[in-house]
Amino acid sequence: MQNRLFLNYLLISLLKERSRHIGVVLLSLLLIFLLSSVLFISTSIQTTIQNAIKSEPDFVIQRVKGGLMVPLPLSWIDDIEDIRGISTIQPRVWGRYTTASSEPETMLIVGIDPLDPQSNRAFSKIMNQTDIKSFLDGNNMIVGSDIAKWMDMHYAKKSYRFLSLGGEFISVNRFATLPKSSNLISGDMVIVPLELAQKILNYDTQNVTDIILNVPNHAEWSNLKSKLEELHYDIRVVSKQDSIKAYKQMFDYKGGFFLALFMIVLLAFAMILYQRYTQVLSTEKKQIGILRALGWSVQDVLRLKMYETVIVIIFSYILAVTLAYIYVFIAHAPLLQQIFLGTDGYSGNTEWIPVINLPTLMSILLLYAVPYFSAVIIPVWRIAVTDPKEAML
Amino acid sequence: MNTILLNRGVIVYLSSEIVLWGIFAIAFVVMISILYGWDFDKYTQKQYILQKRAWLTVTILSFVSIFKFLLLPYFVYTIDTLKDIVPGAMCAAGVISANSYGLKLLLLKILILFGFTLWIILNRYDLNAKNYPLFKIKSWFFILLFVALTVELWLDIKYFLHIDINIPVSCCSALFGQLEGANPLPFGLNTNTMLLLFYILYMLSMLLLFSSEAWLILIVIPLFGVISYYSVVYFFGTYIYELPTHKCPFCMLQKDYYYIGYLIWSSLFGAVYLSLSGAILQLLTKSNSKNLYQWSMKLFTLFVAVCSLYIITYYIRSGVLL
Amino acid sequence: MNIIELEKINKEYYTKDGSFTALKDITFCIQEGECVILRGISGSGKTTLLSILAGLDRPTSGKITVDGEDIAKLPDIHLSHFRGHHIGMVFQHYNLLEHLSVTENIITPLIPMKITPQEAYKRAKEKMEIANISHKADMDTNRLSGGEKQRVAIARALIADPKIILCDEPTANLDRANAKRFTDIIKKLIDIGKTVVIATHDPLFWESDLDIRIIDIEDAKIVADSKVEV
Repeated sequence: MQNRLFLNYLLISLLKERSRHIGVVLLSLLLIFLLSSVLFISTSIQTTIQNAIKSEPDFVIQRVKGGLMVPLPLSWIDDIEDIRGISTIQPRVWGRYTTASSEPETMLIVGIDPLDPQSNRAFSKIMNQTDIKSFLDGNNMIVGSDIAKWMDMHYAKKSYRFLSLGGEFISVNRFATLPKSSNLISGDMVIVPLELAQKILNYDTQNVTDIILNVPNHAEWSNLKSKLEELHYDIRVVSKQDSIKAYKQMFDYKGGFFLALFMIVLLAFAMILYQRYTQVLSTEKKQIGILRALGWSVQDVLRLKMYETVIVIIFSYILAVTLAYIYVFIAHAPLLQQIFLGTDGYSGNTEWIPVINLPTLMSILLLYAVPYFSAVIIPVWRIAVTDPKEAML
Repeated sequence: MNTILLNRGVIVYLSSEIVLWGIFAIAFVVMISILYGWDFDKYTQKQYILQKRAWLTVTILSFVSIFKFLLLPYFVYTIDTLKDIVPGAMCAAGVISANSYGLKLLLLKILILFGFTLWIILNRYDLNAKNYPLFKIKSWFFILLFVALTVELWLDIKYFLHIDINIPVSCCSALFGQLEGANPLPFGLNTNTMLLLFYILYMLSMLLLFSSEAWLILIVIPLFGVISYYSVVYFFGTYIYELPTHKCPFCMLQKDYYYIGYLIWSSLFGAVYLSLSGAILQLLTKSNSKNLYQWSMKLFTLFVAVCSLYIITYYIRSGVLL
Repeated sequence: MNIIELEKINKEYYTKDGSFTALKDITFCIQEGECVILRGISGSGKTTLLSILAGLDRPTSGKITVDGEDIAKLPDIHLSHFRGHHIGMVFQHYNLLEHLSVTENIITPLIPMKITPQEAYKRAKEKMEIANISHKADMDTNRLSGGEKQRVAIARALIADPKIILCDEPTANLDRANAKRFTDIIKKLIDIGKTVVIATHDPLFWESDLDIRIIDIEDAKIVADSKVEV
């Protein structure tokens, strides 16, 4: 260090006069803590969803009637198979099932054909870890973590009896539980073989919910989409890109709204800082006058006060970001997560995947440091140009 | 409402730009009042007050410049993330060309950062002299900087307001590739002559910086900067991407390439800024700028070394050149 | 050799009720190693004159050369540098920084000079010896008596080895014993070649055994300039 005496003086005066800074530090802590918690949660949700979408199929084919989704016949698969460039085609059966109890629980029933190569990459990972032969041997299901918990509580530790939408009881064994890592998407999911799903959801054996397909050559996506749309009048083609964009926009919208509100808080913060600095620094006028008389230039005093500000900023920033990290990723953000995910359902157990990236940290720093400096720069200048003759008064 | 404006990065970036402009505007008003009443030969109370006020402008400019330097990479990163929203874009190159304001904005930013560097260097000289020899020059230059910052803010807002997320943009291979077979290099160079020129200019620059030839530095360094830009985009970049057809100044800023672009571009711009500022200072004051020249020599060498290392390591690993 | 030269120094203060002349056409020189007393009642302008000598205030017109440097119009960085290196100042109310210890107080003028801590503490030790305050080196400033505070202030004034020491009413807040001790230290300073200027109206100084020159100031003007030799 070029000037250790200067740093020494800076630290001694900061420590001995810390009571002057405590108010500002506490306020800063609260502000950055709130900001970072919200940004950490939303970054985490965004990453979780993006990872989930990445493992989604490239295209989903649906049939619509009156604007609503209706089951589509398996024969559509034959039409699609004629188009070049498609690597996997697969029918899917899925739907919502609500239990008939005093506290109804909704689960997402997903039927898959475990013998087919899975076009959904997440499913293929699950299937690779599953003993398919014993899974198909009888009525078996793989349940998401939230549903597993619910079933444990409702005395269905080994099997659960579904009342199918056709009116018959079907008993299904619990085969395995999905890992928690992709909680947001799979928490309420129940994976069963295709035929079983058709039974529970009361589908014809020739009907499925939708068809998914993958197209390895991304450059062909738009081309292929128009070809698919020409097949039937009542076809609807949803591409992965559309959903990524939609999710991204939705999150931009939510996050942007929060940030816009936060600006008002920041403005108030800056005004408080301006007043507080003006007030605190005016009590230092004599002291600065003495320093000036002893040979400190305006530049030296500016440097002293700016470094002081930088230390206060960095200290509060690091402390608040660390606290926010502990709060969100270790304590699972009590209170705040209800705002994000709502209070109903099992989302109360959501674990955020820790995502910390430089741009998020940088955004927090910019949002905090730019108004902070802007608010204090004029009071700091005003004190720095104190006349040295102040020492004579 | 334009959904781009709700992107987190865009909000943080734009609000920071607005706040910085606002605080700089205060300094601008103060600067006008100083220029109006400044007379160093007078003993009046007013002159001493003006000298104190000049400190406010210095403080504000230093603060704004630090954050401007931080905001340029943040800006580039932000538009890089917009590639998910803007159809067709694969990296920042596509997003920056989403409308006609983007490229102008980026160029202006680079110029403004040079302006800040130059101002800070002139100011340091001015304060260390005993009679404010550069006061008029640096004050007018300050006003020029404010005008540039105002135009920049206007371009910022125009640019982000006019990104249409429904109109596809080109990706970098279409913007920088030789799809039509035309030669994109300046002065009718081909890759080999350009490389030759690159290394010759590097050595020439070192020589000029070493011998403090201010006028020649002002001529040669900008030329070297331009050739460096083309060399990185059309030659060294292909080794960074390890793909002879991938030509883009922005993709190398992404994580896939270990953010190496930030090092390459900042060392190049830093070296150009410092050497040109040094030369201008030398011409204005007849003082020596050895220190600045030494720093820019170090940065230029770092830049050339990083670029060359990509070629060498590629050659060692695969035994061929692209 | 003249270490301080003043030529037609004027100082006017502007208030709402018009201007007020604090110094009028002050012209004199001080030689190196001299001990000069600026004598006058309060309000006569002697403190203003001292401020101008110290580079704490600027004259409204005139020329002031200290140690070969014209300080009347020097920009702040250079004027501060000048204050730090050439002037040692002892204030009437000592002006110590209450939140620092004795040693920390003494080295504050060195902080802008970018010297190493080792060097600074070494110098502080030397100067505390001259000012007879070594035994309180690590004490908090606010626990010192008035006399001790002043000796700290003297050590601080000496820390950068300035050629000129300026004192503003140095004995006004001291009892007689401490005031006497102060004149002893001043004697020591003159012996090691410092130029000392004291603004005071305490008769102690012209009754002491110091070789002094007395400049009388009245109504912003010099009315007498005489040498007192023992």
